[in-house]
Amino acid sequence: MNDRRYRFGRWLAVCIGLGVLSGCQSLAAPAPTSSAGGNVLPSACRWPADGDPLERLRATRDALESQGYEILDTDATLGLVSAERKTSQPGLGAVNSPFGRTGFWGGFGLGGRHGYSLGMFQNFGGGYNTDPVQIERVSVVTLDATTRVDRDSVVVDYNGYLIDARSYNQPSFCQQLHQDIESGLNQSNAGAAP
Amino acid sequence: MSHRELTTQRDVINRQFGVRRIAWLGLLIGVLSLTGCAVTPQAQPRSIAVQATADDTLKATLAMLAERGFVIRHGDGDLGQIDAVLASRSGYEMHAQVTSGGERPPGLVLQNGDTYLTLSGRRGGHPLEAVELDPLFIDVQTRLGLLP
Repeated sequence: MNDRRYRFGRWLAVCIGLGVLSGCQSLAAPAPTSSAGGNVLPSACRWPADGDPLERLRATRDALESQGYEILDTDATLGLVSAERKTSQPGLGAVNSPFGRTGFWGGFGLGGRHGYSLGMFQNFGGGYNTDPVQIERVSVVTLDATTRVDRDSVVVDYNGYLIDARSYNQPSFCQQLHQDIESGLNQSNAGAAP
Repeated sequence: MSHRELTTQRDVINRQFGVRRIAWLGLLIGVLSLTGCAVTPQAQPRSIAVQATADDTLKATLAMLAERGFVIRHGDGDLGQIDAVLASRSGYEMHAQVTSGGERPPGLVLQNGDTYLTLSGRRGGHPLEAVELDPLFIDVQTRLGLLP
């Protein structure tokens, strides 16, 4: 009786384990160079565009600049605007590791923060501005009456250590940008009409 | 007597030369192995030739990259070049070039027309292999309507 229950429990554990493992594999995003990686863009980041391409390019540039992005490259033939934004992330690096920063000066685990090192811990290792920086890179491409928005995000520690890197195509960001571009186009049309 | 002295002197000189030669050889091998480590592997470009205008090919390539989530960093319609990146744990860097006519680009694997599309890329510093670049070529050809 007991034996059978054990056996049942073991099989259940194996089944659950297999389910978890296979579930993880199917949830992983396809590699961007694989044949299955062709349609990773959320539908909010792709919308139909019409009207004067140059006007649209200017409106796109203004919309990105108003969100704090710095324009790096534009091309009128390809309908391309490429931009980047750097924001400081105070405190992010301290959260990641239980022993605080593990840089050149901070790599100790014994005694730690509460002991002798409290004052020195914050002074060593790189001056005043030692917050990690998030770099968001965005490109807006308007080709053949379709606009596509791509964005990725890299978070780098002050000493160059890569904390986080990911594709960052959030539908909310794309919707906001879409609204900004359309309202900019409407304004310029209203301004040009009279 | 004097003859024997002469030979021993010559032996000593020969031995000195031998030691010096071995030292130089060791130094040379050391320097070569060091520079061998410093060189990063070259990106291996791969090209196809398609039956379409250079402009259409460049636009199809751009649409393909944008649809796959790559962030376009630089693009020039006149030069026919695109640079794209994508951040991940080992970040992607892609470079695309479209030329019309002219000389054969490196790594040409398909000759169907006279517009050349060359792709090369890196993932985490390592060059992308043919297995990873070929799906992109297929995607571009599909977008151009060249594949059934």
